[in-house]
Amino acid sequence: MNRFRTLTTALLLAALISTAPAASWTGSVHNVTDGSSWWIHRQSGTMKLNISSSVEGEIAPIAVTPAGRVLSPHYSGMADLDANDVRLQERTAALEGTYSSEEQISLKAEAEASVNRTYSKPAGSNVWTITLEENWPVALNASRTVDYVGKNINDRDRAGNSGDSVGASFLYNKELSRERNVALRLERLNATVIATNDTIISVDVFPTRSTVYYITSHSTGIADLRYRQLDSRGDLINLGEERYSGTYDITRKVEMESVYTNDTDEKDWLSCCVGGCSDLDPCEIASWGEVGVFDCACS
Amino acid sequence: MTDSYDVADSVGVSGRSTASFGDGFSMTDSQSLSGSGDANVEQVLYGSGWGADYVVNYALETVGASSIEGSGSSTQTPVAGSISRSASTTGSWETVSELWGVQGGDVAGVGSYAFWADISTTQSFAVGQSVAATQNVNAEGFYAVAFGGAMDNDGNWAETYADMWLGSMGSTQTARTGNSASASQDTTIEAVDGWTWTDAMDATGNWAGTYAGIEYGSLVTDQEAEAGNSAFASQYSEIEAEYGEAGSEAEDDEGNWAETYVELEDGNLVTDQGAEADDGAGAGQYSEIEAEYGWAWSKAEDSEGNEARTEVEMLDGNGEGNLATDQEAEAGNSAFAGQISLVEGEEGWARTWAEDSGGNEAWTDIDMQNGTVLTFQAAGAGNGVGAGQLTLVDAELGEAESYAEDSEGNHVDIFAAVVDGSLETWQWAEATNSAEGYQETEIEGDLAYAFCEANNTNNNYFAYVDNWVNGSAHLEFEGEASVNDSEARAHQVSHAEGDRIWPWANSTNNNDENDTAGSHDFESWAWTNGTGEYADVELII
Repeated sequence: MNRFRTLTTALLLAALISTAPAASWTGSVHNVTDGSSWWIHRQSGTMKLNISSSVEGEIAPIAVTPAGRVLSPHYSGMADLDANDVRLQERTAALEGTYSSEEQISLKAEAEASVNRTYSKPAGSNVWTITLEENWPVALNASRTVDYVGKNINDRDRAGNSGDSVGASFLYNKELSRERNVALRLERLNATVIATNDTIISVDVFPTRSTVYYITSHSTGIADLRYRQLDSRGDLINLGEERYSGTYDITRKVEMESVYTNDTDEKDWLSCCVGGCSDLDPCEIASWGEVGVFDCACS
Repeated sequence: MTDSYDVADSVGVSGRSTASFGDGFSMTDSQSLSGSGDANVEQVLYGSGWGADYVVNYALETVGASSIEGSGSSTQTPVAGSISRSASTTGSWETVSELWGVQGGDVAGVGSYAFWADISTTQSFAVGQSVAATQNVNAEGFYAVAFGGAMDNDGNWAETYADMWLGSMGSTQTARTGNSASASQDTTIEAVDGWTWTDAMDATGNWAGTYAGIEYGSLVTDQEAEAGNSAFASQYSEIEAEYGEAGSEAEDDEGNWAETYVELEDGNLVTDQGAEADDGAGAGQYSEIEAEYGWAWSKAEDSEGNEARTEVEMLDGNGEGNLATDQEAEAGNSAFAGQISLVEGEEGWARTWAEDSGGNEAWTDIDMQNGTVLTFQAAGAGNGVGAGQLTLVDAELGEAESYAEDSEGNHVDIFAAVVDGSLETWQWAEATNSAEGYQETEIEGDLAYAFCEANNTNNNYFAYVDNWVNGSAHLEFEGEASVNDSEARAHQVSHAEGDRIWPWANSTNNNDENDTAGSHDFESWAWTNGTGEYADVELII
């Protein structure tokens, strides 16, 4: 039938793949005209995790054989938690010394709500709107204290939430005392893909989330603190990195929140294309970052 | 699930899909399409897990439509799914809509196609315990096709098809596989040309099919076919057309073949057919025709070359004809063809014919002009061929004949005729290594004539007996003839009334006759063999 075509048009593919046992889904859009594509994969579950621990002791050499073979004194610990891109990573390694810590972790995730995909293209337009909607909430609370005096301790952590992250690394400390509290919330995720028959114009992923990271510390080595916050297109909008070498007392609280309504696009982007940008605040649309594809003069 | 769209700007599209993870995992989908122009849509559903993987494909393509409307929905779990899609186009250059799927090697699907035709189609597909596809198609315009098919993982398959040229068509079709395969259709066509068929073949090679077609008229047909450990096809038809035909065929995995066929010109036709193939083949037909011309036949041929056929033909220039037939054909280790016929018309013919693999043949024949024929015919072939008829003729001219010839050329001929009257005859003839025939006939008319003849052409052995009655004739005739390598023999007993009664008896060289009038009983003998010959007509009373 192609021989009767007078126009060469594009093929747009939108897929929704989901599996029950792992509670995961994948959404993708592929434009065969220019080969542009986008996809997202999400995985979660309906689960709870509660951990509390208390440790106090001496990191000391111990004899492991009657002949007197001695095991080098050390402590190491790690934790990796990941539920629907809500993450907590911890790494600790310490040599001979006095070590005590207390930790509580509470994780709750739900992945029972339906995942919805919509797509539409109005007659008379070549612009497609594809949306994905997920309501798989995650709540992660974690508190941890560490007190150490000894040869050396490295203690690192990172809290991540849908691309946002906050963390601290304490390296080469002979004395370290720190208290850290993390509260991560993920409410839902919406994604909107705008495409034409020629290409994918924009992809916005809107996870409604909040990240709270509080730390107070006394360290004698290196203290690295950092945070990062992304916008709906995965572009970096806020970043902070600090390094402290020496003896410091640090108190830091980071709160990041991104709230998106289910209306994935509050702007009349089509009028931008059709009518220009005169009625829009350039600053307001600046965050779109892809203004050029709308063939607008404003940027 | 994946969705692929290649549509013109003038086409609007919307869709919504939901994946549910709560009480059992499932996905649902709904979508719509509207506008005009070109559209190419493909959708695929995948199931997975627990050994029940399946794939369902939907494709819609239209070119240059002045309007497109489409909608659909689906529900699926990892082990089962169902999908329905509706699409209608007007003013399109071409429109194709297909829905098919596979699970565990079982495949089923339906499709429709329109070329310069408006088409509306609703298709659905279900996969789970079995794989099934259905569609309802309505089309009007230049050309349209609807088809469905199914094949199971054992190799059983069934398919159904309908097309139309310059007219309209409505068809509901189903294709299903599970432990077997089946296909069916319920179709109405009103067109310059319409054609439908359904067939099935099982995994061992048994095949059965049925078909019907028309030109310049209408066709209603309800067909189905199934293949399992055997194959089966059936059909109910109504045809009203200038030309129509319908048939059924069956062939088993050993090569036995059976077939029925009927056609007409300018009239009506009702047919109820069937075909089977298993360890043998079978075909059947019930027909009714009212037309200027009608023709119906049955044929059976077994794998050893034995063949049998019956046929009936009717011609009526006044357009008031009729033909009713009940046919069947079988083929196994032998062949058989049968027929119950009723013909009313200006001219009518009915024939049976059988020939075995050894070269023996037998046939019956009926000719009629301006009247009515009612006949029950049969034919067989195998270890001996035979043909027989029980016939009633009421006509200006009627003839009934049975003939058998063995492989050596020995033959018998049994004949009865009437002019302006009625003829009732029971005849049969058969041939193995010899040939013999029989008739019991009653004739009433202006002219009555019946004979029995035996002929060994190689040895010139001949035997013939008859009775010929003219003028207010009444003839009751019972006779037989037989021939083999050593002798030809004929005999008759008759009662005749008429203005002139003129029975004959002939051997190769002898002749005897009696020329009289009134009312008389006769007995005649004739024979020829290697030692002598004899011909004699006796006036009993």
